[in-house]
Amino acid sequence: MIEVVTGSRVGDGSSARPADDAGGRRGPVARVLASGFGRIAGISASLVGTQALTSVLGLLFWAIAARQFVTTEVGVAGAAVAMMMLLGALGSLGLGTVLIARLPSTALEDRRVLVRTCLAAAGTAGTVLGLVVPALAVHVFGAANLAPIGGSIWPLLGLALGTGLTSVVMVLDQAVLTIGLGTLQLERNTAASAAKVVALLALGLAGVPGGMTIFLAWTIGNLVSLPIVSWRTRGGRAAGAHRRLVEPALLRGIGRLAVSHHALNVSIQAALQLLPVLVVVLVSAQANAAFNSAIMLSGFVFALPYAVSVGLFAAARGEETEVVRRMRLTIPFGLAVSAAADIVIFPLAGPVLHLFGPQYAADGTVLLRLVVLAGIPFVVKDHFIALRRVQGRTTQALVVTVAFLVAELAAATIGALAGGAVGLIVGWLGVLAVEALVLAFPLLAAYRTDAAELATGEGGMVARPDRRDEGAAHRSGWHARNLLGPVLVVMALGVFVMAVAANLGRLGNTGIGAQLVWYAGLLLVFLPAAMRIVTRATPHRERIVAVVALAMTLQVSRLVLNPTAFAFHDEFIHADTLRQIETSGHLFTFNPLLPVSAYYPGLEIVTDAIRSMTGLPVYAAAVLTLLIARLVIVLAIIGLIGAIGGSRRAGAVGALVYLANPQQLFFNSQYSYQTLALPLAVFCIYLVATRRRGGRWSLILPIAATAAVVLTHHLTALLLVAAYLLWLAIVLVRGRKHPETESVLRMVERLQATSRDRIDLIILSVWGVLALGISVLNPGNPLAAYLEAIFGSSSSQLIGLSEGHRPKALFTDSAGTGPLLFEQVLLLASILLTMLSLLVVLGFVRTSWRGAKPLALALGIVGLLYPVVPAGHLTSATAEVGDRASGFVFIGLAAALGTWWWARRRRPRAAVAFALAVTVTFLGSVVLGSGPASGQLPGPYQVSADARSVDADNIAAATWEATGLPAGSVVYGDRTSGLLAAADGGQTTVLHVSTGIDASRLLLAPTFTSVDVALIKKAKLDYLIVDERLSSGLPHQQYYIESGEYGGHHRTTPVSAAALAKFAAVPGVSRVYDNGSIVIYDVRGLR
Amino acid sequence: MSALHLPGRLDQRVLLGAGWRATLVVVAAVAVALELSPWARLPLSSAAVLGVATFFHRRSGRRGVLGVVLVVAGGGLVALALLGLLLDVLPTGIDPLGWGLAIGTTELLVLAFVALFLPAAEGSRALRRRFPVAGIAWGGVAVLVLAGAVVYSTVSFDATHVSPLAIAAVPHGDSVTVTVSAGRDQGPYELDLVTTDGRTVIAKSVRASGAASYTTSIPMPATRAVLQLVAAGSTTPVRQLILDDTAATK
Repeated sequence: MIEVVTGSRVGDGSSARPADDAGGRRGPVARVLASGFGRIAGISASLVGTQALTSVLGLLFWAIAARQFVTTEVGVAGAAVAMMMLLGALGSLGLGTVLIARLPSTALEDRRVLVRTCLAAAGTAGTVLGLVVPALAVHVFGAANLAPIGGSIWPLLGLALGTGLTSVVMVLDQAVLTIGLGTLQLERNTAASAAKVVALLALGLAGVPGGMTIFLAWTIGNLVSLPIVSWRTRGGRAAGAHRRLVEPALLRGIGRLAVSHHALNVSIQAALQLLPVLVVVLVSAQANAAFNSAIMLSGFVFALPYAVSVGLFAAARGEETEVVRRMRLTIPFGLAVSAAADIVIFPLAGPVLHLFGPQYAADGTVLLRLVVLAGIPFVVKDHFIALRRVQGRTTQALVVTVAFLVAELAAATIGALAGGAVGLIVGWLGVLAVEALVLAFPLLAAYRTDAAELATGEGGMVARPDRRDEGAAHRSGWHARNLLGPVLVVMALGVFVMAVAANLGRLGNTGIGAQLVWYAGLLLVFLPAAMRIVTRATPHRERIVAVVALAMTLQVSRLVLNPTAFAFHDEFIHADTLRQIETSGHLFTFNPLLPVSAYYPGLEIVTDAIRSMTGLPVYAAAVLTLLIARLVIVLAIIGLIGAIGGSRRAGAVGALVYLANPQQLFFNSQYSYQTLALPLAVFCIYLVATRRRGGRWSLILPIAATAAVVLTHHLTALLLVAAYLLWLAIVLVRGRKHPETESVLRMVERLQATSRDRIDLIILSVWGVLALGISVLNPGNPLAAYLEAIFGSSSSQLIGLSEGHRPKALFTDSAGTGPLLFEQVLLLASILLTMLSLLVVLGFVRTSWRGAKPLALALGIVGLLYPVVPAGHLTSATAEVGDRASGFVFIGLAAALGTWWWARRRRPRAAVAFALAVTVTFLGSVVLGSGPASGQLPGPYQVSADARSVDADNIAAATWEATGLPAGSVVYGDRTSGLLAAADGGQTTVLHVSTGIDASRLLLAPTFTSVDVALIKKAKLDYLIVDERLSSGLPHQQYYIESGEYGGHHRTTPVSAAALAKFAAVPGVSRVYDNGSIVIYDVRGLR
Repeated sequence: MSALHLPGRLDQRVLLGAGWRATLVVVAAVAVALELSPWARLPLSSAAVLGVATFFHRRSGRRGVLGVVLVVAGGGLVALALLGLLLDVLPTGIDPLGWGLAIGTTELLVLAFVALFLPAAEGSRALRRRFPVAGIAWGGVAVLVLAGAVVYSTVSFDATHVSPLAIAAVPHGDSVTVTVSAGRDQGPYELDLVTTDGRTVIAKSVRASGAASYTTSIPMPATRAVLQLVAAGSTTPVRQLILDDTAATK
């Protein structure tokens, strides 16, 4: 193992050239041996032989355990041992590697102190990991199946002790190799294995139960083996020159040496050690008993190919040429051995597992047959790692192995959820197969390079372009390398972590643990990309792709919350319009949920088109529409900032800043008309800014895009026209002035451009106003009344605020729930940082004014409107207005900050600080725009809480309505029931906003009176949908139904259950549906 | 902008490039119009759009890759929105046939416009780069993990959104069809009809599951009655309906 972990040369360092020249005079065996394969075989045999004895004893240990303990206990023990091995390896901190490198050059009197220091450090680290990780897994992440291991104090302490000991023996085994006592490693391992078996038998005979008893026997074995080492290495000065048993100073400066190879070694073995833990957590401890046995037996299959690859590295003595040439033998050999083992194991799997017991054979035969298939991809992987070690590219190998480790575990998790232990292995094998295919490319490339050099007659060492490139890259820093691939994988992993948090929420765990996991996921998605985007040395293409990928990933992350259907209030409104377009084939039909939305159907038109083009289900087509919209806005911002400042790098940074706006993750990711209109509006500005001035066709696309914006969203269209007018005003005012440093030629060009801009902006403004006018004049469009209602509500609350009334509590919703303290801190930090950035915006405005850049100036002015966003949260009516404005205001902030950041060179520390600041702003904006994580995550039903109210009961009721009630029936229900009835149930929901009828007393008034009968007749109501859970609490979104509802003013107690049940006693009313939460009354008899 | 190139002067390469793309567009449009399986529509439509986009990129001199992608994506959204408006005023309305014709025609017009009005970009626009194996591999892993996250969420969602036990009654003239449904195995229950005359057992051993619901038909009671789903041997209703047709008979 020495040569493997350090890459150091063994022997005299001379290049061992095979005696090929004499190959023609030798037999085939001699030629093989002379080729160096004999040396590989020798080293491999040594490794395999060492492992064989301890493996046989290990097999005996588990066979005894299987016979003496029940399967659940064996499964628990298997997971505990696997966790201990992995945590022990992590806790060893690579100090074994350090000792191998350092001991030979350490003074004799200091060697014992150095070894003891390393052992102490490893033991401490291992113990801490053994304490912390299982406790977190059980108590924070809710892995209940691991409770026997980490759920109570004594098993936890036992695991910590065992893990610490494991770290110590791992370091010790490598240390004894260095001091020339190679057989001591074998002796210690053999003694430990034997002692484990004896201890297990003794504990079993004594009748001590439990999976941790098996684990205890394992730990006793390690403990008993330590005195052997102490005895064999006795003598010499105990305290050395330092007169201390341990000396931490000796460890100074070795971090980098340890980390590289150690991290790689850990990442290689992590998967096999984590899989049993996954089985316990996701399937059961009982299932892990057979699974663990299969993994253990498969070790015999994996051992030989692994030993061959280790021997390959060791025998090559650091010569890349030698590794490549010998791979031509070792790869086919390894594949052949693995394939042969697979064939042999297939019929023998059952009988071999009978060693453990008939139940193990029954449960584990299929598992063992599948697991051994991993031997084939392992051959490719092990050779890849050997190649990278000898090339000195362990960092790259580490990145690759970690990325694939993540994918393996992800696939294993999905497989376990879908198909238990078998599914876990299948998922894992799938990724291993992909991994082998991908890692085969570098092996093939190395082989071809070598073959080409052989063909040209070049001998000696292969030129090492990789090392030269790596050196060059190293000279310019790792920042300059293309890290796009790993960043993408980390971002995807962040989404997976968010999915885990969402799953925890669905299982009822919405506490601090799940919320932290949620934020951890967001951080993984945002921060690495932010770092690469703002770092100057990042390759340009990587920067652009990273920011686009970040935007798209954030959009995709919404799917982990609601993967199969719409769940938010506005989404149902537009889903209803989409449904009507699909059924009627026409636009501008009546939408009872929000009548004005049907007159701006751009979003639904595009979705219907995509649905027709692709045949995808409605929800999938909607998701695709939103993804395309997201792509458009991020590219448009990059292009726009590039157009005004001349740098797309500034545009990428600006786009990053834009993604931190409060509405980006929540509202502007929903299926709502602004989500499409805003990207189209920015696209319009981009088209105008980059058009070929004077061209005949230059305004066609901007005019068409402006029309599309008007067709999609009223307010956005209004703001787009306002943007044109603002730009035009600046052109008129500032256009004639010129920068002081401008040349005459440039001034002439600019004046011509200004003149053209004036004309084009006038055309576009007029066209925008005209198009808006046409849309307003569309018969039945209630836009004027709609805007008047918003304006009226906002202004009345603002007036109340100015008079000292506080209509809205800060940091809490109408049900009294609000963000946690750390979320409040994030929120305030976000606002503070953004306010600070206004200083930059002011500078940007001044520069744009002096430089006579009208569009830049217009964007800067828009950015200065930011204070409207947080100020809007002072009242409930203006909160939404302020939040929606952020999508526009942040365009200005993005332009200013992106241009400012790229104006001059920044130090790496400044880049880190800026990336962190943007990330904090992003996280705080998420709280501001989306609410606390407890509300964002799925979870148990909450009253009138938007997506948290859309649960199985509500969905089931709406699904029944689609087939059980006549289509288009007039219904009334609470906020969520009413939305679902229209969008999913195909019914016509009565709402005040569409009918002018306030029917809320039907649900909320305490008693049934003649007024209710009159209301039913007036509304021509057919059915009443009652969610009996409304009485369980106050509404989180201010109202049970809608603004102005019965008893809604200053509501302090929930609606009574009696009020909700009053129709049950009314003659002539039938109850036609009951699912325990939702009941539906047929009230036609009262009309 | 260069002068119009008459067909006779069209470069053969341009003609070929536009030709196969136009064929693809037509095939995709037919697939959409005929509402073929999504397995056919999705790849064909995607390929057609990609074909038009790459043709535009080859002949668009001013814009780089970012600009082309933006114009194609943004322009595509704009075109779809306005085409929908156009279809709405046509007698056929908005349906797959209309979309197939409209989108196909638009794409053909774009191809023609680009072939005839846009000159070839200077220098080779064909991307002759090394196949980025590593980049594709990393991207593949990332997509795999993302897909895994979505699949994981879907499995989690389905597992936690199981339809509850429900009872429903739909009147059909003089009878009522009663349905008991559930997302997972429920039962056995008893279905009782309670009137002023007493309790009558309608059905015993009523079971429902995700695979099958229980359905029966009973005569509409003449007087107000309560239909209860109870556990066997119990009178406490798990679910209950009210059948009251008295107002209709008045």
